[in-house]
Amino acid sequence: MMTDLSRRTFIKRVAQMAALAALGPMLSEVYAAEPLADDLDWQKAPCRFCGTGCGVVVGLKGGRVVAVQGDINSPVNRGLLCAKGYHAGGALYGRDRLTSPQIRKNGKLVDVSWDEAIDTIAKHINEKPDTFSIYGSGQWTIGEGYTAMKFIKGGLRNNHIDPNARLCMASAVVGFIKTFGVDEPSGCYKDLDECDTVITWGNNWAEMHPMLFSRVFNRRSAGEKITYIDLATRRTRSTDAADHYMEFVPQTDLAIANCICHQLLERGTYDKEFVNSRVVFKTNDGKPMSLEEYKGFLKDYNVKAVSELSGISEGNLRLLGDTFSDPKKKVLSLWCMGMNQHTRGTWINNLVYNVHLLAGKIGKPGSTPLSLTGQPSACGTCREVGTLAHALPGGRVVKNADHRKHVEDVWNCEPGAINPKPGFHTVRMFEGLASGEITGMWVQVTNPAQTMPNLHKNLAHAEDRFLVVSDVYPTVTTRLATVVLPSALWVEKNGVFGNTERRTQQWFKMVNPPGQARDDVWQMIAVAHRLYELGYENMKDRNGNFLLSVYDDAGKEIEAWKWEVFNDPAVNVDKALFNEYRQLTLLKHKDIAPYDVYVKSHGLTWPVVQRSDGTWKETDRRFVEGEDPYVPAGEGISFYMSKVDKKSAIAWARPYEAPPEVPDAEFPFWLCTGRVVEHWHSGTMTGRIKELHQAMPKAYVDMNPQDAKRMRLRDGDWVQITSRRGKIKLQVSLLGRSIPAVGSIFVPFFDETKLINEVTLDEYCPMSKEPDYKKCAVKVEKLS
Amino acid sequence: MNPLRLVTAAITTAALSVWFIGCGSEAALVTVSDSTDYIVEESSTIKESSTAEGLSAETSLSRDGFVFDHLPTRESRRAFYTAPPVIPHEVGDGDRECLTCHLQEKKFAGRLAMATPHPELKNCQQCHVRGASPEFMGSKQLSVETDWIGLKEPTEGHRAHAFAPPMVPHREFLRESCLTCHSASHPNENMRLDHPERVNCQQCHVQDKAKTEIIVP
Repeated sequence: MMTDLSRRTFIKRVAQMAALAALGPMLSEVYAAEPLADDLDWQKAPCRFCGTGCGVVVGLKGGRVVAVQGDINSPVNRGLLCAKGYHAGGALYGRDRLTSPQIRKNGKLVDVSWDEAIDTIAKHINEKPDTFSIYGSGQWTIGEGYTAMKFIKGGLRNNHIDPNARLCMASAVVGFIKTFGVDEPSGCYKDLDECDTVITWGNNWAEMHPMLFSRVFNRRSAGEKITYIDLATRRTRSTDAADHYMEFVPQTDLAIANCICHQLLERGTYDKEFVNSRVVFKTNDGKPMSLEEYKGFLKDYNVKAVSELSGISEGNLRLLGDTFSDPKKKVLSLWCMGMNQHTRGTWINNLVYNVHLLAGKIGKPGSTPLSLTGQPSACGTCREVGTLAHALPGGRVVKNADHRKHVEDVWNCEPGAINPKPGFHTVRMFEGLASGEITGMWVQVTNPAQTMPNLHKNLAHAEDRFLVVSDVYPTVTTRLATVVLPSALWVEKNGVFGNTERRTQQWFKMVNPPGQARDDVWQMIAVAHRLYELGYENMKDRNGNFLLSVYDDAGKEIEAWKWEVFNDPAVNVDKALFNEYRQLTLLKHKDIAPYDVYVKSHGLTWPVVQRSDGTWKETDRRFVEGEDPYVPAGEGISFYMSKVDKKSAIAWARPYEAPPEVPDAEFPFWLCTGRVVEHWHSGTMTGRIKELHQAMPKAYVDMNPQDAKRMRLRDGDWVQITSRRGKIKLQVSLLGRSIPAVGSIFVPFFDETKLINEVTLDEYCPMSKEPDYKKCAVKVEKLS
Repeated sequence: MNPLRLVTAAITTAALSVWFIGCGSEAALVTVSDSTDYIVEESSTIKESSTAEGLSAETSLSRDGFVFDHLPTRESRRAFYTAPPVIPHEVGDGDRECLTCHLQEKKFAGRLAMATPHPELKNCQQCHVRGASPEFMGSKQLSVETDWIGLKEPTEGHRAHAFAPPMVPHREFLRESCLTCHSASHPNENMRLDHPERVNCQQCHVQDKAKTEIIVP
């Protein structure tokens, strides 16, 4: 019997034949017998770039990466990739790779030995340990984040460590903890195969998570009916696929979500059984409230009032109400930075959960909210390892004495070593760097001098402090550095990443890093060990041994601070770190399996629990009986980490709140910033890949043609964009990548020669401390 | 401005009007009429210049294939063998109508538009990005200094002996319909098919599984 695939293939071929038959006989060629020249070694890895976590296979020849393909056996992308993924290998080979440590001497960065660089850093920290900080990344591997965490929280004990994920996922994290009592989603990518309706909340997934977009719309190509509602502030490539484009005034997503809840309660179409057994209501300040009281709170969010506020028609608001009212519809909500980079990011995350909780559309195949991540290990490293100023591994926090003790025992550091006071979160850390409260900072795997908001303020005086930057290319941040350390990149080192759907994925080192470049993990262990040699007491464990020691399978210490040991192919420090960290994942049921299980898999979604036959089973949907082993029998869906009663989620009565800066007569436009499909973050890697750079060589400003016409601007004209914080010159793009709403503009942030973050606002969500890169007020002036 | 880019803008006008009609929100309608007016105004100038010095003069057919402006060979459009080719012609950011020309092989204005082997994947520019063009928004393209060396394309698949049919040297995924790429009119002779009347390709040409079916671990 013909499978669907082969039938489709067959039909295609027949159609092709018919077209070709008319062309007649063709030239015949004499073929020379020649062996195929592509005997490659192929190895698996997760993609280096976004949070989707696509599986790739890397083709290796002569010690170099020569090809990259999608991994057909990856449950994430099933063989397909995006332009970034296919070309990821090129990121390793830019001609200006950093290949030697450098120290600034007389104002100039000069090449030095590793020994001198390590010594210089350790001596500085030894002098001022209390005001030294680490600023890391959602692109840190699990081993890198875990080591940095131990360095700061076990060693320096000031808790001044935060990742760029603060700028990216913090609102999602606090949203999860507030609603469900624990971070990370119930849903998974299998829900993309089951949904019949998709709603994106301010998310251009056709460019930012193209694999997930294609996974849904390939079903439409195959004849399935998928309804797509695009709630957005600009038309994008995603909008092309939308059945309903609903353009809203920035920040009114808060009111829109409440309006859906209002309709469900007014119409009586909420899921009564689920709400009665699994949802409790709380006021904005955390007091219990009844369903009736909650209904009273929602009165202000009637269709008419929200239509006036949001700009979405009453008809479309009712359509949203209908969608969630229909018990048969399988509705998948997706979002990323649109909701997270928001001065009320925590609230909007809570509110979208309210909608799904009331509708009973959670934890069901295809019908669930799914928060997408931006970075390859924002989940695996920042959220699970917990490389945040207030956190400890496995969902623990520094404020909790029991949590501190668990970690002190695993790290074997002195009892009481971990400081109960949280360190500085990202924006506060950079304010401290500017003011001098922070005297030194080690930046790894990120480029804050391009990506922090309000750069003039937050990077002021950075070059006057002791700034260490580990990176692979010169960046705007390395230009400010006191010490630059050349790092190994992606498949030049061992690593483990964790993606959006709780999938942990491992890879091995495949090629050598260039020149003197070395792993970030090694750099940190080497500096810590030099501090230990200098007699810095807190780098000793409770037995007086080196705090950051790692041990092999036999329990023997690995002298990992020695590069020749670390770099020995028989030694795998990443494995040792992973297996140590693993012990800390059980408390909140985020169980991960031993390292070797991941070597043989295409990633596993946690909790990963061992079965009686010894095999390890992953969990598709969390909190769902039959899938998640921690849900008690007979409970159906249970939010078992709930702080209320171990089974119920909290629906919070969060109000609409106006944004801190809105357009006015002087600054009449909204500014939104973001990515494009070709580039990753600040473009330091993708900007060195020919195909990607040439496709998108520089930043531009997307404007609505109506605004452009009024201002007599044509495609390509130069304009100056000015906010209360800074200004930038850009060329206008009309009907280009996106079409913003009238009265708003969009600028991508990848271009290091056009720093839009000199213009952006650094106001942040008071709960998650995540800044809002999506809305501030600017003026646009034509330059002659 | 490059005349091709202008033509693209003109085509976009038509495409966009269709696209806008398909969108059902009232906010869309406001944008629609206004922006469409705007482009029409632009494109009327455009059409004249493109007819005068446009497409036909720029291309010629040689033994090795069509000469494209900046990416003349099959290899120059790929970072490595099996990489998705970049778009070798001018394309606007707003162009969403790739399948108008690439659904079935099409000759026009002296060029050959190859058919896509995977028309069911409609987010084309997810993988296929705009290739090098002499200018981007009025300024010259910056070069990229790179030591990347991509896998080279084989001239043909492995043969057991001189008269054996070559094996398929690449994986079938995304390339399930052989004849779209191995077209009888393909300008590159390594790709060209001389027996298009035979439909059942894999009767003779079997997959070189050892090299194409990458199963890791």
